[in-house]
Amino acid sequence: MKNAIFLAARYLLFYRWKSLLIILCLTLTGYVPILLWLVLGEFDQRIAARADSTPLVIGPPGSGVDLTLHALYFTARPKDGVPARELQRISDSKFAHAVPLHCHFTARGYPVVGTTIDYFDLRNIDTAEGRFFGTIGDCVIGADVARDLRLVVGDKLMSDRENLIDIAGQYPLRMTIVGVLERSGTADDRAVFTDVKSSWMMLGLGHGHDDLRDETDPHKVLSREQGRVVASAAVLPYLEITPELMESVHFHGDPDEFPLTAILAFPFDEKSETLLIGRYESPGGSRAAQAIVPQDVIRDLMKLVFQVTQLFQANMLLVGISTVCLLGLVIALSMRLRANEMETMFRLGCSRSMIFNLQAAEMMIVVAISVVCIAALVFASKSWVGQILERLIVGTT
Amino acid sequence: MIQIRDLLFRYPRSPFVLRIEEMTVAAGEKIAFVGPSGSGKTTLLNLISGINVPEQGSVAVADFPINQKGDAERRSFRIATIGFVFQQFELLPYLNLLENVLLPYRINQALTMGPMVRQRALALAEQVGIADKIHRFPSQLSQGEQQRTALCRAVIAEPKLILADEPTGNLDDENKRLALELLFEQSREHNATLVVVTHDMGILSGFDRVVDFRGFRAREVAE
Repeated sequence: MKNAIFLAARYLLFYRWKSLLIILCLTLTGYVPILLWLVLGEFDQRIAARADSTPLVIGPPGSGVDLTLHALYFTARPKDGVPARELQRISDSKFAHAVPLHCHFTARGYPVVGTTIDYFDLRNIDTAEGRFFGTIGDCVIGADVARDLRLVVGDKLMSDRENLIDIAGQYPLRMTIVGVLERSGTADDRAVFTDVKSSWMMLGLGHGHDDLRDETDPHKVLSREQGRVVASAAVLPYLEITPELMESVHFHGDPDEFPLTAILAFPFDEKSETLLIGRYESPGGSRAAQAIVPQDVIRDLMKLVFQVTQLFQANMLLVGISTVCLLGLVIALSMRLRANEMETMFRLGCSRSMIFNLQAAEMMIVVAISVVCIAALVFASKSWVGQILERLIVGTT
Repeated sequence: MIQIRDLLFRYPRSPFVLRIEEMTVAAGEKIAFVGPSGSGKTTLLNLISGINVPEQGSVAVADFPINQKGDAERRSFRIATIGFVFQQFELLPYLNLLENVLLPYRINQALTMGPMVRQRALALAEQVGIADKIHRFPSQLSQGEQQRTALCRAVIAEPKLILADEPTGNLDDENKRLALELLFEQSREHNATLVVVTHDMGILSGFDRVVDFRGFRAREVAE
C-alpha cells in the first residue's frame, strides 16, 4: 500500500489544481452542514443563556421578539417606551428587582445603554479596568468597544447625534470612560453603559447650562415669571458634565414620565414572577406595558430558525448527493482519460489489486485531506461563528 | 528461455494471421525481429509476454506455459521476469524521470526499494546520458530522452527476459550505441535473453540471431 500511496500522491500532486478542486468540493460539501450545525448549536447556547439569565422583560406593547432582542441585545429599538414610574411600581410590588434600560442612542456606532449599577450586579459582570459609573456623564464600555475603538479609562466618548441639521434639537453628550467591562461573550461586550440619567440628558430631558438668573441677554432669556426663567434655544447646553458643572444639571418634566425602553425584572421567586406577569396580563392589568418571558420568545425564535435550518439541511443533503454523483462521474471520466496509463500498468504486469490500491489510495488521500480541511475549518470556526451569527441575526432583526 | 510451438494468432475482425511453427530462444541469447510494419513483430512480443494469448499452440517462457495461465498469473510472471521497452515508451506523465525508471519497484510487490536500487537507477541514467534530467517529467524530455528512460525502466529490476520494441527508433547514432550497449550489457551480465523488434538494419550486427517477419510467417534469415 505504501507504493500505491506514493504513486497516488505523485498523481495528485502533478494534477494539483484538479485535485484541489475535488478537495474543495468535498470540503465544502462536508463543512457547510457541519458549520451550520455548529453555528446553530453555539448560537442557541449563547442566546438561550442570555435569555435564561433574564427572567422577565417589561416594556411597551408591541412585538415581543423586538422587545426581547432589544432588552437582551440592545437592538430593535421599540417605537414607544414605558414610563419610569413602571420601574417604581415593580420595585414597590416587592416581586422583583427591577433594572431600567434606556437604549436609544449610540456612541460611535455602539449602543448607549442607560441603566443603573444594579444591571452589572444582576448580570454578574465586573470591570476589567476602572470602576462602574458614578455620576452623570460617566460611562463604562464593553470589552469589544474598548478593543475596537482603542479606548481606555480616562478617554472621552461622544454620543452620536441623531440629526445634524436640527441645531435646536438633542445635543450629544461627551462621556468620560471610567471603566472597561471584563469580557463576557455577550452583547454587553459591544455596548456603552451609562447612568439612565445621562441617557435622558442625551434625549434632551435634562441638561446643564450657564446660570441664567443674572443673564441680561434678551436673546437668551425669553421671560421671567415669579423667579422662573424661560431660556431660548440660544442657551447652549454643556456637552460635557464636569464635577464643577454638576450643580447646573437639571431635568425638565415629571421624572416618573421619563421614558425607559425596557425594564429587566428579576423576580425573587416563582410565585412573584407569576404574580408580576399576571399584573400585566390580567384584564385589569397595565395596558401601557407588557411582560415578556425571554426564554419563551427565544425558544419560539429558535424553533423558527431550526425549521429554516431543516430546509437548508435538506438542501445540503441534495447538494451532497449531487456532489458525490459528480465525483463519481469525475472518477469515471478520469479512468477513461487514464486508460492508457492503466494499459501501461497492465502491460508491465501490474496486478489488479495494485491498480485497485492505486485508485483507492488516490480517493483515500483526497478524502483524508478533505476531512482534515473540514476539521481545521470547523476548529477555526468554533471561536468566531457564534459571535458572527449572533451579530448577524441580532443585527438584522 | 522461449519455446514457441504451432502458434496461431488472429486479432478479432482482422485479416491478420501470425503463424509460427516453432521458435526457440536460448537463455542469454540476443535476438532481433525485423520486417515491415504489420508483419507481427510486436504481436509476437505481446504473445511472449502474455499480454495477448494465442488461439492455438503454446508459448513457454522459462518453462512457464504462459498461454495456459490465467490473467493474474500472467501478470505476476510478466512483472517478475520480463523487462519491457514499449514502442511509445509509455512513461507515466506524473512521475519524473527517476521515478519512472524505478516504477517496477513501485508496482511489483516482490521487489523492495532501497538506496542500492536508487544508486543503480542513477547509474543507468548516467550510462545512457540522462542523469542530469532525473527530476524532469516526461513532457519536459525529448523523444530520445523518453526512450532512454523507458530502456532504463526495462532493465532496472534485472529481468531474465528483455523485450524491446524499437528501442532505438528515436535516437541519434551516438545514443543508439549507448542504448544498445546498455541492453547488451544487461544481457551479458545477468544472462538475460534480449528480444528486440527493429526496423533499423544498422544495429543488427551485435545480435546472435535475426528473425525476418515478412509474409506473416516468421522465418529465420540469419544466425
